[in-house]
Amino acid sequence: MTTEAPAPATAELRGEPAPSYLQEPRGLWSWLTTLDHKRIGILYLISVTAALFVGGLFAMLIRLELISPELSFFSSTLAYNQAFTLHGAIMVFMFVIPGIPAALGNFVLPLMLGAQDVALPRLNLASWYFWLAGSALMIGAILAGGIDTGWTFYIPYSSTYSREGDAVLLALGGVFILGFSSIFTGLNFVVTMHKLRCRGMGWFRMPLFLWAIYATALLQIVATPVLGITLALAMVERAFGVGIFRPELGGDPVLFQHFFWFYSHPAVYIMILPAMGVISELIAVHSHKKIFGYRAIAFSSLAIALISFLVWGHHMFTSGQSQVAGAVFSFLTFLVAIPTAIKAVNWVATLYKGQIALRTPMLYALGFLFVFIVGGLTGIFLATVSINLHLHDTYFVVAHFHYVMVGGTVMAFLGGLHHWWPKMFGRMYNERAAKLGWLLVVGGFIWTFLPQFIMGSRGMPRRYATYNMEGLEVHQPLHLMSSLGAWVIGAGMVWTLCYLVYSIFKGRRAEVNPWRAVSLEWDVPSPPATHNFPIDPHVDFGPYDFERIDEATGLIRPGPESQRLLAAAAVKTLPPGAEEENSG
Amino acid sequence: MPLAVDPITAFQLPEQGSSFAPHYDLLYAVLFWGSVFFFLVLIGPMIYFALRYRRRPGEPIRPTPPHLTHNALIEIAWIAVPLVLVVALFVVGTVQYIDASVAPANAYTIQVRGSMWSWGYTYPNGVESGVLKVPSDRPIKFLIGSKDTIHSFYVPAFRLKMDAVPNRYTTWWFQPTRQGRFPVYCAEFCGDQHSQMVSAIEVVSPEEFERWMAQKLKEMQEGIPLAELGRRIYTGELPRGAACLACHSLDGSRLVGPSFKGLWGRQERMQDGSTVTVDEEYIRESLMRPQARIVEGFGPVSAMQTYEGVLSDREVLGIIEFLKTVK
Repeated sequence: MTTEAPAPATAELRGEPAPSYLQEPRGLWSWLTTLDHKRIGILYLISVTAALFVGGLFAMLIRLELISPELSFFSSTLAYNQAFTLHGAIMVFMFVIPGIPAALGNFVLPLMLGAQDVALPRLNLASWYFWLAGSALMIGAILAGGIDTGWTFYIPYSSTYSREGDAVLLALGGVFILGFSSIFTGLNFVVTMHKLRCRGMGWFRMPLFLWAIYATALLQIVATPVLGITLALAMVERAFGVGIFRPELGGDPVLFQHFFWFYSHPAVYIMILPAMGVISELIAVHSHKKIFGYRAIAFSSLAIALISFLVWGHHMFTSGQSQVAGAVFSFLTFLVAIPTAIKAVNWVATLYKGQIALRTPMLYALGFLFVFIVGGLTGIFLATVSINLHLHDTYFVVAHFHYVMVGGTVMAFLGGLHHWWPKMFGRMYNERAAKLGWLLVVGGFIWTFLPQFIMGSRGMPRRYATYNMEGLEVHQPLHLMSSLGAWVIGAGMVWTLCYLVYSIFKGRRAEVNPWRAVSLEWDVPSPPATHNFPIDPHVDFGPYDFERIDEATGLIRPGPESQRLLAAAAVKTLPPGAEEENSG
Repeated sequence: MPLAVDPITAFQLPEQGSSFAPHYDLLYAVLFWGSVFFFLVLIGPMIYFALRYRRRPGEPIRPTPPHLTHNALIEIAWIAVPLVLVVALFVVGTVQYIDASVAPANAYTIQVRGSMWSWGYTYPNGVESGVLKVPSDRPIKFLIGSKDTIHSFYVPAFRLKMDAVPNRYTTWWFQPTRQGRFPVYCAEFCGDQHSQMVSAIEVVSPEEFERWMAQKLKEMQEGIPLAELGRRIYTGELPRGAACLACHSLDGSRLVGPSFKGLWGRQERMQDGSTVTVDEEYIRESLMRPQARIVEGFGPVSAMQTYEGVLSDREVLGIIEFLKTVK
């Protein structure tokens, strides 16, 4: 009978009726006021997915225009400029930055830690509402006439020459508020990781996803305020005519670029670090092998976060900054290559002699490696300051950061989504449909952006509505190729959305631990109950000790200490009569 | 060509027109083939492992032996090797960068001025031109500035670009290696006509350059006839903000604005219903306050910027005289 002791826990593990977080409590209002990290994660998932599709729609329009060298699809160059600005701003601020941490991170972080929720659940909900408010301002900017400054808002174009100066202010206000949303999430995660790790969960027993989220959260807290300061200065300048950035007032427009990139470069790592964390999980779990160089990967996340504060000037090699600054920023930028290389090599080494299951999440991880390595290597080109002089502000740069942001972050987002989908919704998607989606997304991605490297290195500048000028018409075939590829990605995204939504209603029910993983989110029902863990868990194993899986049930075998605690808790919670039965 | 590159990297790069370009292309080729090598080193094993070490259905999970979870020697190796390589790249790239940034003392200095949306050039003797002709026999240095927002002076054939920033000068220089015409683009987003902000550098023989410069100098001293002055402003040869030809045709075809063909002296209907004879005053008003009276069918708002403070009185007269010639 003693083996039956942890009755409440195992009963839930068997999927017996404890209402899931999706069922209980009911009603739209309960969702809009929820403090449950899982529900907030789902709210974020829906919101950022909507942003992804809106941003993607603008991308399709841009590619449609660029099929022909003359202005053909848009009514004016202004409309084209607005389209690429909105594509960039929506993707960066509304999708890529919050995508993985706020949607996937919110859902799995407390579960992975063995915590019942994040440390500050109200702040967590506030973060989502700030995201909504910031996004509403961005949409407002579109309705007010549209911004045409590029997502970088460079002064003095944005302050003085853009025809839509008020819309620019609205959009900047939106970005400011989205910044708070990001800070709230980061702060919450740092506090949660420090204070709410369950018994036995040492820092080095945390899954690597959490190390990456931790490094990201530090960046969110430290870097994002700089964006707020920059915006406040721009407002003071506009309201009181104090010359800070605007040259006609005696200000320095290059100073704005320094401020902007002092935030936005770390922001690039806010975008990619969580993706790297997801990939560490996917590769280890689907190889069923302990990750190679756990500590090296964990510390490389922190190293990347640290170095990312010191490299902003590499966006400005041709801005007129001094040669000394150019050389220093080039050197520091090269240093980012080291921790990045450590990660890539360790991931490949993890595959060696693994027991690899090539399911969709793993395919996304391999797709990530394939394109991310290209993104990283082309980053070396751009870090080499003399090479940068020619490539800066061409399609080479556009291709490079899409290889990192889309090939990296979006693929990790999709991989993570497919990995945690059974846990989130308790349903399995159709594996063959998912593999087709993967093929469309990865294939379409390479098809779209590989030609852009060649266009760029051959001298095609970015942000051009037309290219019917001397020397540029030759790029038309490559532009056409790129535009066709964009439709393949678009089809892949729509297809992915369709089969995932379909699976919520018609998918096969998911097991507790379909991938045979050993982090704690796979030790609760799929989908989890509203209350994460019936009793606070205890861990005496690492996040990649796959030998702890019980072959028959697919569940994690509790160690002796966990068994003792489970038993004690069971005794406490069982009715008095049952206690005697148990002890007998 | 002093330094040849292989056809695959040559395909990725534009024609060469400066002494810097071959050095650039060589370093680019090193980076490209180095990247191909490291890509294969990582992706080859990835694909091999992913196919070789598949988990068979129902196969029990083996504990990972400790030598497959970390190995200090290997990990130090793949920190040290990339570190040495990137430091080497840093040194080579920075030396090239310094060479490309610091002009020789004997360089011939031309001022470049970006404005929305054209490039203007001023030679050391005060000659202004919308056409950039340079002699092929000496290093040329550009002193780059902007009248309004930030632009970037980019010549792919020379592998160089530099931002044109208001209220400061930036520079770059090049040594031509052959005669020819090399397109110039704006590489920093600057608004509506950003992609149309094009120009070209014509590298010509020293003799041809001297002849051209002598002619320019003569015109500057004697003063160009008014109608010719207007024509040059129209074509952008004399840069004064956006060139008229971007929006106004001479052959009667409709562009953004009305064609200049037969415009002088004509009766035009305005969008408020009034009628105007195109005379000196109407042309002056249209240049200085484009929104004041707009020809029917071209509204509601004119896309034209004001030329107030851009055109001198003599230049306005020049445009008027030029319009009289467009029959």
